[in-house]
Amino acid sequence: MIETKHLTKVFGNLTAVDDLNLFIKQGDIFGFIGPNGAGKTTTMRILVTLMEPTRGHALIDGLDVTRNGQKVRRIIGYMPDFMGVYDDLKVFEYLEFFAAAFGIERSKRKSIVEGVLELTDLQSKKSATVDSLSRGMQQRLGLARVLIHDPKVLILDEPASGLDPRARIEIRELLKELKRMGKTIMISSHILSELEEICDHVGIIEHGQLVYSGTIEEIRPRLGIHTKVRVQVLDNQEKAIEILAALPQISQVQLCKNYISVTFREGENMDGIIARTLVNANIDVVAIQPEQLKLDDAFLQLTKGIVH
Amino acid sequence: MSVSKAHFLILFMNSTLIDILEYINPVRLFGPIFAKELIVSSRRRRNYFVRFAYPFFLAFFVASAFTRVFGYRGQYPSVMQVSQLAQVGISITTAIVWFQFIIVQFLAVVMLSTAISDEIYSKTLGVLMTTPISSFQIVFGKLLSKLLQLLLLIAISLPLLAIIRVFGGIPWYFVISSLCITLTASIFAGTISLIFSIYNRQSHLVISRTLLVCFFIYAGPLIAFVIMREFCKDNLHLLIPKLGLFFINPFMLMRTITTAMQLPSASIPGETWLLHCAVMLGLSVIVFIWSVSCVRKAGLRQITGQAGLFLTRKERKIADKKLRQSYSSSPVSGKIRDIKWHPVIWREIANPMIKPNRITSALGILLSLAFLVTAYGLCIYYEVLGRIVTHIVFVLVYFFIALIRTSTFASMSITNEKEARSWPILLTSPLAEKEIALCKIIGSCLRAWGYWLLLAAHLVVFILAGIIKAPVFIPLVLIAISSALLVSSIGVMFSSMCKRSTTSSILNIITFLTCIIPVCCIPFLYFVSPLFAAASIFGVWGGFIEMFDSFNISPNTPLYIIKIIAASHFSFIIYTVIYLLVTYGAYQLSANHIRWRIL
Repeated sequence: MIETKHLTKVFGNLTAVDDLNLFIKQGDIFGFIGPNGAGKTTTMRILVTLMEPTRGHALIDGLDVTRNGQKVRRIIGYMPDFMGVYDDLKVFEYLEFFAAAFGIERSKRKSIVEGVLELTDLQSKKSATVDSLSRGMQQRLGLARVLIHDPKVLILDEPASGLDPRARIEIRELLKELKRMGKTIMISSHILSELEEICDHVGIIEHGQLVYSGTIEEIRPRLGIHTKVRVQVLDNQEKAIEILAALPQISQVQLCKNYISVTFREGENMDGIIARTLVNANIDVVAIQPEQLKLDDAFLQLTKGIVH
Repeated sequence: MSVSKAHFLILFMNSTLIDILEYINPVRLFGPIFAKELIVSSRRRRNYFVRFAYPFFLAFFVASAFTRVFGYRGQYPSVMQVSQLAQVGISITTAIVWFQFIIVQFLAVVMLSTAISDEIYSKTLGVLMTTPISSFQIVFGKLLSKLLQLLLLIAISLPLLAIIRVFGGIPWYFVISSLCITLTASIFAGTISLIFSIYNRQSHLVISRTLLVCFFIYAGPLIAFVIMREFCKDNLHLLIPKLGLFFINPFMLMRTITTAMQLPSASIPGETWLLHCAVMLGLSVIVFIWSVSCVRKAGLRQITGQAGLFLTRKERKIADKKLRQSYSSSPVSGKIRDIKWHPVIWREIANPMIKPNRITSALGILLSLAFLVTAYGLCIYYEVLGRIVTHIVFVLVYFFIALIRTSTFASMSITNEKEARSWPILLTSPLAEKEIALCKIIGSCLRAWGYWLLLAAHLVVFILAGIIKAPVFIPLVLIAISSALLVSSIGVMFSSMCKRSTTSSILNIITFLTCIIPVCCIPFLYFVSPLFAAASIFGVWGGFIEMFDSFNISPNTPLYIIKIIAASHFSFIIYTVIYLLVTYGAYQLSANHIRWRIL
């Protein structure tokens, strides 16, 4: 659905996006991660036809964004990092304005606006002026706006930035709902844990170059990070460590505060071996919990945090 | 006196001296704001543009004054040219002095129109309040940094004035007095602009309100004096009000000075202009102190997170109510408007001409109405309402007001959206660039409908009364529509090219002054300006053909041909075609620049 081929954008001496190759499937939620100044927003601006690339191509639904700007704009919904509002318009008028701008027939506009207001839970605020809304509500209004013409692709630049936890959860739930509706979503954020929960794929960008693209699960082997498991036993911790360390599949066993951290060798995984071995050795197992690789860790490992 | 006492006294005197020196230290007085403003101004391209454009237009203005006296090459015989040589010095000095007087005042208003609003908008004023920088230093730093730039512009003409003074026999005090009057009038206009910038975000509002206030301060007493003169026949009683006018009206004093300069026994009483300068400075100080107190309040409101930083007390109440609504989950009721036309046009018209709850706007309307009633009343009193010249003046004034409002709305139409960051959102809609540009042009024209209504009402009423000839109507409507489109397209063009409203409005105003009302008297532009076109309609269709006689242009020159065309019955078609062609060019440029400097 979204594809970039050798996409490059140069501003004077600065290469903001450098030979970027991306592919996002239809119906996917793609998380776009990178440190400040990595080139996320520039890539998104090229995709939404606000900028032209210096080199390369960007395609949305098979349409080149540079050559078919008009057609591309009909199938995308873009929410910028800072939502500019028409401060003297009311919420309903604001949405109806964009409905008209997207060429929706006058007879259908009202019902469509009501529909997106319901989806974003803004019905009670439809007569409020846009500038009177709180930040969270303005973000929800921004989402309502991008949905007004029922686009296939949503490109959201940090939609949860500056929001309180409740508003962030609301936005996250809304995105899940949109995924259920079959939208292809490209989302950038600095709140990595949130992306982890909703994204099918992630792309990590630094210095304008894509350093990783794939599922969160695929990051582990890519980084050479082995499966880790937390084991809690009722007593006999020393005996448990001794038994586990003797297993050929396990490379490292460490005693942490109240649990044992077990690291498997490359290519090996749990398959119930820990539970079986400990039970056979008459050790009471309280819990065995896989230690998941956090997106934050991957982000830190993949990027050096150097800003342009 | 013992040694220790003497030592202590020296130490005490030293420390006191240091304290005094510290207190009057210019660096402390000006504060870091002044230094910051100087650094920033050296990085702004528009300041370099002004420094280039100012001498350019000054040179043009001087050349125009020179040719007016001396004629073009071969126009007058050599003997005549030599005899007119003495007049050249006076004419050029007058031109320079008036050019500076108008332009420097205007630049002071423009430069200070965003002085405080920029700080409020970028949320730095509140931060400044948490530092040891005083409100005085903020306002003084802003004012002085801009005044320094204006002084630089004034200094450009000094060598020229000095040369003319040496070779043209112009007394020094004429030059010095005119410079002082210009400077004090600029400081006064600048301080008014500065105080308005605390309460208005948009520079065009600050500029128009400052100009309106200056107009009422200068013209109000003058009108009152004229009325008073009619009822009070004793000249002795009028002497004090007349002198008072000289103290508060720099235009009158400047006119008196330049008129006196052209007399053989040229002299002006030194006390008048000195007292005038003192009065203007005193008024500026009052406005300055007022600004200092207002800046502090605005800064504190910002740092404490209160709503409505640019608003008056009543408006702040409404804003605070809105803020409370934003945090409540209760439904908000209110009227929702329907989008009837193209959304971009609708959006322009939905922007009200005058915000209904603004006290200043209401005051402005009241004063304007009072002015209008007085103007018609005076015309009736002097029995000149039946004369066609009176109506030409009325039509030109209404035409000018409508044009400048249309032009201002257009010049802000895109930059306002860029500043609010809503422009990129609109550009991701499927609306084509040409469609947006065209809608912005039409929308700006329609937004100023109220001002055009004044013109139409005057025409209809006096056509029905039989004072204005009916055939004037259709040509004038055509000129009005094409001129509105012309100024609107030029405004939108600047708006699409610039990132900030201030830059766009300044460029637009400069174009407006030079092309629409050619203050520089560029001969060709003068004849094609919409104001001249409107007047010429009265000449050919309204039976006021004498107006063309006032232009003494030699035959066999290009201007003579233009004059003949202007005096023809079909001139309005030519004007309309010219305006529409320029409109088309500006529209194309706007469409090409719609995606320029958007981020």
